Amino acid sequence: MAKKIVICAHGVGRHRDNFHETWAEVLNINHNSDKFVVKGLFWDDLQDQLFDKFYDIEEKIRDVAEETFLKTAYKYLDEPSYKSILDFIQENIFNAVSYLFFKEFRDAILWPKCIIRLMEIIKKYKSYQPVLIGHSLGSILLTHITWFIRQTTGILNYYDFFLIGSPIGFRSPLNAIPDFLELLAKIGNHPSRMDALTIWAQEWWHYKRNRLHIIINELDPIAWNVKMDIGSNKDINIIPVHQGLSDKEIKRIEAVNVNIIKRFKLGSKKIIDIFNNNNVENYLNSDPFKQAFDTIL
Amino acid sequence: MKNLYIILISIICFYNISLSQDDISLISAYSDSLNSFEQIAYDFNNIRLVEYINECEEFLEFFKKEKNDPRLINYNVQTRIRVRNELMSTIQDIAIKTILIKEQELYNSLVQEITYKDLIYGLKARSILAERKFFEKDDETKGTILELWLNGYFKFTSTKLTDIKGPQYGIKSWEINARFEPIGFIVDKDWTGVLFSFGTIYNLFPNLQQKNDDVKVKDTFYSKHIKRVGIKLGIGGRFEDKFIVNGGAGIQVRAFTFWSLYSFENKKIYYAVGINDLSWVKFFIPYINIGF
Repeated sequence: MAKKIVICAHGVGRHRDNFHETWAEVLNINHNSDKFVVKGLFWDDLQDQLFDKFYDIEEKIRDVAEETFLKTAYKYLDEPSYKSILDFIQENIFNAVSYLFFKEFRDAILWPKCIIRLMEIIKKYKSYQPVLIGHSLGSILLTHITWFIRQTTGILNYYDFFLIGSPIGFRSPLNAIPDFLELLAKIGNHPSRMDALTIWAQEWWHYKRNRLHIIINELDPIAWNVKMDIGSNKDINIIPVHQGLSDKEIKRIEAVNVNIIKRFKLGSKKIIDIFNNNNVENYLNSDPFKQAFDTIL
Repeated sequence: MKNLYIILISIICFYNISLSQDDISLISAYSDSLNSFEQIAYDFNNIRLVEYINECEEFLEFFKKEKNDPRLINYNVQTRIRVRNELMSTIQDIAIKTILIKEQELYNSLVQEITYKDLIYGLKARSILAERKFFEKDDETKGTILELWLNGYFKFTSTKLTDIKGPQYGIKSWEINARFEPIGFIVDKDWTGVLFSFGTIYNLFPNLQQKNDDVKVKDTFYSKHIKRVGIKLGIGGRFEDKFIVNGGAGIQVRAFTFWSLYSFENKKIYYAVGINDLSWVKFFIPYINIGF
């Protein structure tokens, strides 16, 4: 069997261009490292370019978060927890919001440059079979750009695709901001987010069976609707939007792509720690990921 | 039908040196798969399958004649994908499904390198124009969220995602500006001020040409020296002992906007120059008597 070129796309937050080395360390320990090479699809620099020019984005998103998301949370939280969540939002969530909100940045700069970077890796490792792993927003980016390539050239030619800690089911509460599946629908001219999700999962199944994997930590608030321990008697989901796929959506994609969703539970439910559950190492070390990855080697 | 393909391939071999031996073998393999498809379609009397084969054959014909034509990149792709998905979802027969999967693999091998090359070229060209539009010098002042959002909202300014062909590769020439701009009043002692300006700018792009795997930028006189022109409305003021409110209209050429502003307090018209790239100030300092 041909060797694999594992292409990783990082998620939100600060990253360097050698971020994939951390991923490679974990993958090399857990799997037969003779059979694959790990490379990174780095895209943090593109976001930086945006924030350098449009300086007020970060502050505005913090303000909006305080006025919307955290209005509910404020009454339940002590000061340090509130601040840690606010910092998390400022450092991470605004990447996601800018991805969704600023069409011009996405269509003219982010997607084209990421497609070029992805293609250049694939071209360089021409004799290898490409395997994609996207973490958090990186999984969304890979989903969108590979779907764009599919819709433009008719080609869907990757050996495997892993979405880990992915907010793909996120449902936008505002009409002005599309969600990730609505963007997928726009790329493929599908009538709705449900159609886009179904056709996407179905095409992967038609192309190669058991080759698309959505791996979810059920305690990861980026990928799942988690009820958090906020110190009161009852666990509460303080984020008033759907992050994870709904039951209906899961049922629908599992009908067209068997075993697409693999779940596990790892981490603390305490609000101050909960965002660590989205950590990439947690996912790469999880049993569902390890089992699925072993099948490709 | 098979003989027809052999004749066609022979003609191509003779006249078209752009097709390599690998291409010819792939075309032959792809033709064979379509032929077996056709037989199955007739045996099963499946109209959708016939429709799909027709699309594939149409594509193959185009490919053989126009391998280097940029239109190849998404030639009947959408129709093929749609019909193929319908087929894969409705057909239960494993033999047909296997052939459809094989057809996809052959298609990938046949067109991947060529279409990827065109796709990368189109997107590289788009990135160059986007860089010119949003991140080049002469447009150095910071933009605002409003501006970024508006440019994506209006069709006349927003990039057309699926258009990856020239001359503009989906990038629109028009752009909306909505930002704060420093201004200097001409012939007036209280000469500095700031405006919030709002207007449309027309970007003058260079010509782009494909050179091997890369994009060659060929600047015209306008794209090199003028770069962008536009009209703007502005409201703001100037700093005297207090902040005096002014409003008016301006014409932008490259990094400079020439403003005609009405002072609501003095009921007078003033002229001012706004600047979008502060590095130009260094250039002018030796020629003017005021210090910065």
